[in-house]
Amino acid sequence: MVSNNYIRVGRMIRIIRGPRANKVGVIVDIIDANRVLVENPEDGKMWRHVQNLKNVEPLKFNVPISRNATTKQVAAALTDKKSLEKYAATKTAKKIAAQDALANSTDFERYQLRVAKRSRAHWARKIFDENDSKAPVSFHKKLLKKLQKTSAKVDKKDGAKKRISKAQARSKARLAKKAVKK
Amino acid sequence: MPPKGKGDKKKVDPAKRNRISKWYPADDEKRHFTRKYRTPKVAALRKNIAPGQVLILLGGRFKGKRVVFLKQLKSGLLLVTGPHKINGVPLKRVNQAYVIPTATKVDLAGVNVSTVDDDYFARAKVQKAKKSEEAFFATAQEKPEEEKKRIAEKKGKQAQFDAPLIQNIKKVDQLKSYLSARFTLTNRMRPHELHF
Repeated sequence: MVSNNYIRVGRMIRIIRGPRANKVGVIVDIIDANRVLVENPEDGKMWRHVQNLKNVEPLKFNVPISRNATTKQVAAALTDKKSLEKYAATKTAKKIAAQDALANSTDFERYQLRVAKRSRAHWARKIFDENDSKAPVSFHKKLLKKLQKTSAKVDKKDGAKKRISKAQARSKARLAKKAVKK
Repeated sequence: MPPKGKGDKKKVDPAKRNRISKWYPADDEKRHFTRKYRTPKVAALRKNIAPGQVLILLGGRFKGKRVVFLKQLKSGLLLVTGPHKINGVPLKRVNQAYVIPTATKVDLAGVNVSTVDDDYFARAKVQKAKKSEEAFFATAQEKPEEEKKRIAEKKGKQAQFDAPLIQNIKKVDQLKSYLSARFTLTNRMRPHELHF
């Protein structure tokens, strides 16, 4: 599986590891086979600096800049194309944002999250049980229905009826004995 | 070496004579530790603790409970309350070393605890029974009338102090149930990485 997001000047990238992990930038120049010059004027910590390609994840967004464009040009191109907003709308960006939010959450927020999960599970179960009692959807109820169908056919026969009445009489007698013992 | 003559005596300056004593005691004297200051300093309130903040108690009977911080008393201890109706913690003094401050703040409008100070928590002195056989086998000593009165008063005042606070708490969504829940560490929780 090779991705077609080629490394080129203007490619938007995400940094994988290190103090700038998960930050996004634009490739301004390609230094050699291993390194690129990266910048994001809208991020305070992403001034123009060198990144090893091993630490870089090319995104599917491009920004129309020329090689070694100035910071101002890069900033203008980014706002024109709104690439940063487009990136923020992607699934991975949202996932990363959610992880950050969880890591920086306060004790109260974590409590609210727990309550939300608990109540969602509670209501899901409630609604499921309601629907289940009307029409069997859960595994055990389906099985039960099947069993009841097959046994209904067999129980109609005379021999089965006799066996059932005998078993019922036996259990009655047992219960009566227990009551006497007490 | 020339022989020592009896006449070789140094002239001793009378002013300098008693500076270094020739004699010192044969046994070491016990030196008692003396503090540099008379009373220990009152601990300064931690930077991230402010009135109205929710704190997590770390020790004692109410450990794990989330309480509201009211003010710092003169002794340096923190005055906190559950409020009592919400989680069972009364007006209580707590050392700030045994507390985790959270980022949640409760509005303290209408809450007046200016009359409460360390003497609010002073206990009436209990007279110890003489060491006799009867006393040894006697059941737990009954609290003197004073104590009982004081405790009853406190219970009455608790509701008074807590009422405006509980009103403020009810205005915030889920804050009441948050305060009634205890804090616990679960799997994969790393306290040194958590933001409170």
